Amino acid sequence: MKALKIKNSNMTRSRWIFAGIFGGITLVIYLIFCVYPLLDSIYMSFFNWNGYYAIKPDWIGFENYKGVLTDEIFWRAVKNDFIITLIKEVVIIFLVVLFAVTLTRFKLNKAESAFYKFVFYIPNILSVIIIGTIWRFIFLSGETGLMNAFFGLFKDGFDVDWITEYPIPIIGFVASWCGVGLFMLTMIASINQVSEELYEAAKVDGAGEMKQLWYITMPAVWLQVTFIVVSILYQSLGGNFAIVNIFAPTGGIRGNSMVMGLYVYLYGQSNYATVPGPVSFSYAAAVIMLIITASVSLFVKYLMGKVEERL
Amino acid sequence: MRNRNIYENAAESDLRKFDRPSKIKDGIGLAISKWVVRVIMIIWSLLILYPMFWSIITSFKDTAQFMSNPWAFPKRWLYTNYETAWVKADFSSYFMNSVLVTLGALVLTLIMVSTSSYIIAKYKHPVIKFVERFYALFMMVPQVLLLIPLMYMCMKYEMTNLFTLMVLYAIQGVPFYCFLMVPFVRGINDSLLEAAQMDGANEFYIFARLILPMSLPAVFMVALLNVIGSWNEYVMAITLIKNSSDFTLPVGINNITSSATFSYGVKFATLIISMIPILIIYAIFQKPLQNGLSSADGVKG
Repeated sequence: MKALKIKNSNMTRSRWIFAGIFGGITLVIYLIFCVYPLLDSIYMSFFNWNGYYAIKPDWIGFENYKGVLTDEIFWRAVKNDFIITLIKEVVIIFLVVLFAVTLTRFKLNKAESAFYKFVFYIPNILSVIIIGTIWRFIFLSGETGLMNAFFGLFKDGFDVDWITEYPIPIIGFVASWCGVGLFMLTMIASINQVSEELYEAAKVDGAGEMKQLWYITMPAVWLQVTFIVVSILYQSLGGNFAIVNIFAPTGGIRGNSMVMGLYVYLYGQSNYATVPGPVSFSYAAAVIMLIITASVSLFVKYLMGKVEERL
Repeated sequence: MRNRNIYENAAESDLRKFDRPSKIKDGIGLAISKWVVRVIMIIWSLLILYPMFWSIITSFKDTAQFMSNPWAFPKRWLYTNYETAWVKADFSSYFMNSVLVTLGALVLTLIMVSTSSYIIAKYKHPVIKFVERFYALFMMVPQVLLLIPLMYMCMKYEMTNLFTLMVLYAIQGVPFYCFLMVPFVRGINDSLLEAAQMDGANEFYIFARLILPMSLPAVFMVALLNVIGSWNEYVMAITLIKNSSDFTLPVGINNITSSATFSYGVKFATLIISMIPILIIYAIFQKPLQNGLSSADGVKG
């Protein structure tokens, strides 16, 4: 027994029982519902499976991967994902920095800033289906769409089919609309962490408000921007799918609004029977998606770290 | 005494001399930028509030009114849209399903997250360290990758029901919520636990009487986030739930917006119905939610 004793452990019999019951059960449920399906799908991606358990799948090696990587639609999806992400990054970071700095440093009226904080966070508590449905009605084609009705005030018979014609900018905009609130709060928190004494000291040294903003607030902001850039990247590459699924359930015309997540989802539901084993094909796409998402996020994180060092 | 005053006055006047020109420039620049940002913020607020306001007024219209002018106020306020949505479109049962799933997931989450956080935060053992790393790693897997394999798994074992959904809503958040709560529990003083152990209290007692009361703010925040998350969850529900008696509100909305039986007004009424509970919760708990979120992310950043 002595060999099993581990240094620096503070476990007692009672603790093992507690950890075994609560932590153990949680871990088992997690393994069943979140780990096993993922590992199973990676394994099945080397087979030729169409979703029916009655049919025995054949091992086909990397055929599915080859199929995904040579599919034009998949690359369009990757491109769309990155465009949406870029729109989100630019819009969200611009607005977040602007709003957070204003709300913390520009001494607004208390009720006014409380109002902004309250309103800007509302999109974060609404369901994606509610957001998607409302915005889909706003961008509806024909004269009943709110956008068309708005432009119709200036030009008679204005009719643009927004979602079919400009799916990606619209999805990028709606996704940014949802994202500002949360990151604004984290940014405000990180600006408030800067000690007020620094500003006092700067004032004594004769630095004006703008200078204080630039030399004291901005470094704190930058630290948070790094975090926001990576979070948006990660969320967006993996999560664009939900909102796209509502706007354009089949990925638009020849995949003009396809994103990686939707590609995985549609093949997985066997909606696309263009390949012999659509489900395993979707699993292969999922693995490729995971690799792309993880490697791009890690790379950007590394890059941001480098930039930070130089500042 | 006198000397010090002279010094101070001199320093101040020096400062003033040095500061004055830039201060005036700053004053104007600051005022202008303040107003520019204020205009942007007002526009952004309108972009958020107007669509919601518009959905509310649209929910009182009939199709003809909606078609003729989407901007206008309803000429006749059609309260029956809500009745139709609640009774005929079956939103009363979807609402109950949502309540059931949300509450069930909340209870499961609180049990699993608070105990796991305590174990990860205070127990020292390589196995527990490993589990912590493992959760941190799997937290990064995008949810969409799990959807399809989960769907086939649940179909195979005939688990496509509300109970599975409840368990999923609880278990999927465990790593993230633990990650929020662990720093909080770690902050509890070890000597308290040791004292309790000395007195012969077992772990269940320590957890229930010491850890839980002391980490109540973190528990509360996890509860809030979980309730909002489960109430709104759409993707998982639409993938797993095929039987209309098990629909939750988001699935019901998806179902009704694509159907031709109901008018636009009824469709918008369903949106409002599912929005209201969460807006009320947000309005009441706005402060703890915002504070909690920002402090949590402060740790992350």
